[in-house]
Amino acid sequence: MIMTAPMPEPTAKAETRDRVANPLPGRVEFNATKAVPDPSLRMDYIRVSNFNFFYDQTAQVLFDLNMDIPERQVTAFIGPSGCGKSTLLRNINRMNDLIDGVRHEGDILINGHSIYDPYLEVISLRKRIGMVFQKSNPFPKSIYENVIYSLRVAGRKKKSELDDTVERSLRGAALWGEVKDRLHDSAFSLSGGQMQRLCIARAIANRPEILLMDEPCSALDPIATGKIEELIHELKASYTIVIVTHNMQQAARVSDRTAFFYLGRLVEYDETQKVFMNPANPQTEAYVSGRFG
Amino acid sequence: MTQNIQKRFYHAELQELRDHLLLMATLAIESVSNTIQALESFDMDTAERVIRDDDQLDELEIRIDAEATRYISLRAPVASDVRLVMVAMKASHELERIGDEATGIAKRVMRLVGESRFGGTGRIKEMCALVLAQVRDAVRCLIDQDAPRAAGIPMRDKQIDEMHKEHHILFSDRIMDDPTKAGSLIELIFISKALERIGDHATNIAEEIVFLYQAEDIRHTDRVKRS
Repeated sequence: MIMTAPMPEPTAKAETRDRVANPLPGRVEFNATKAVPDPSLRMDYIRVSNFNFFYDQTAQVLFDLNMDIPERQVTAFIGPSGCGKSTLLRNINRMNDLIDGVRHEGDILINGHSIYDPYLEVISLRKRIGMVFQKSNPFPKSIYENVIYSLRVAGRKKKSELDDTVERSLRGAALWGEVKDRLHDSAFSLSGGQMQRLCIARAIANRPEILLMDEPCSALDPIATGKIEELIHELKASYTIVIVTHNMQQAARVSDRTAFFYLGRLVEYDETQKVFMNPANPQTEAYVSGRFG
Repeated sequence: MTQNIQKRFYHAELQELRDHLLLMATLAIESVSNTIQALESFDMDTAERVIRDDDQLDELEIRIDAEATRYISLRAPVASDVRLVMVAMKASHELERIGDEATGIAKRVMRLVGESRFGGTGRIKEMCALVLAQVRDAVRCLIDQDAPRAAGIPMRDKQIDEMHKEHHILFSDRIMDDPTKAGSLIELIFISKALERIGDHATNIAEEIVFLYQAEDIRHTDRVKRS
């Protein structure tokens, strides 16, 4: 039996075999699609330890929280309103200290050091932690002055240092190209998405170690949201990022780890892929699938 | 709007899914082509290679399913993105089945080697050429994003089906004429059937390509009725 069906070109076959032997150069292997942390980075960079928090002597809002937040990854806090996710976030830089009558039990450690250490100055702690809020809150100053505000407060005057900080921070916040020709215009001349990126630039001007973001995109349109999400993805190379979000798709998109809170308790905390594909707790499954209620 | 397309970091994952589907399609073509070569020349080595290489298709099917499930879970795709994810899952299943049929043919070729008692092979040679062309054309349409051409592929499957019916009658008659040849002739009937199934899978892929690029489901419509 001799047949002459057309055969594929030999070069194409050889190339195919090469690709199979060495599948898709430069690509991550499938099992590596979940976040593989750099072993040199601390997995307990922020450690929440037996943490309880009360707004007054009786109103407890956080219950016995224990979690390790890894360095230079994005950790998302999700959960319904009132679950305590923002309260925990605001404890990380001790912003809740500003409220009368609050008290806590347990501890939060950053890089092994308690943030409640009586010898620690709260100001120096907050210098290490940038914060971005739901509503962008630029100061009534120019774009330039907004970025270097913290340096001005610290008494820094050297123009080259200030200029460098403005450029570095605005570039880091993916805003430089859009504003470099109008740095001395009012910050209020920017769009909502640009103002939020200006606030991120201001937050990273001090070279903090941690960026806390409390629903940073909830007041933005999808295009501005997309830009902020891209920025978060880039910033995690340099910063440990904790983001509170009501948008579960956003948590799924931008975070490496996700924590689900309910009624002040940590219900589930795991790799984002696990939480959104196969959560261990039925309450988590109900929440992420929109069945919660 | 088209001037300001925003690149998102996770779109690379979609490209990776598409690359894996194209790699799988290339391997499936190679598998069909090799099994036909083995059939033409009763080449044991080539037949063995077809069987051995099938693992790659199985692995890619699993990988594509996992990547697609992850993309749906974490990226909430819509519009053409969700069609690509769904088509990747369905087309990869068809490609895996093509690999299985090719492997089945290779195993039967190995059993036929040394047998010389079954006479002619009907229109198997012609059928092989048509089936390979169907698979190649379907994959070409996937690469070229050519839905109109893909929509024409299902109609061509009818000719392959007719050939298989002819073979079924031809080889069955020969078995009745000379039952001592039954073993080899039954293998030939199964080879013809496997070729016909490969044509069906190529047809299904073509239908998925139309859905992918035109958002139109042409399955079981008059456009693709083959009988």
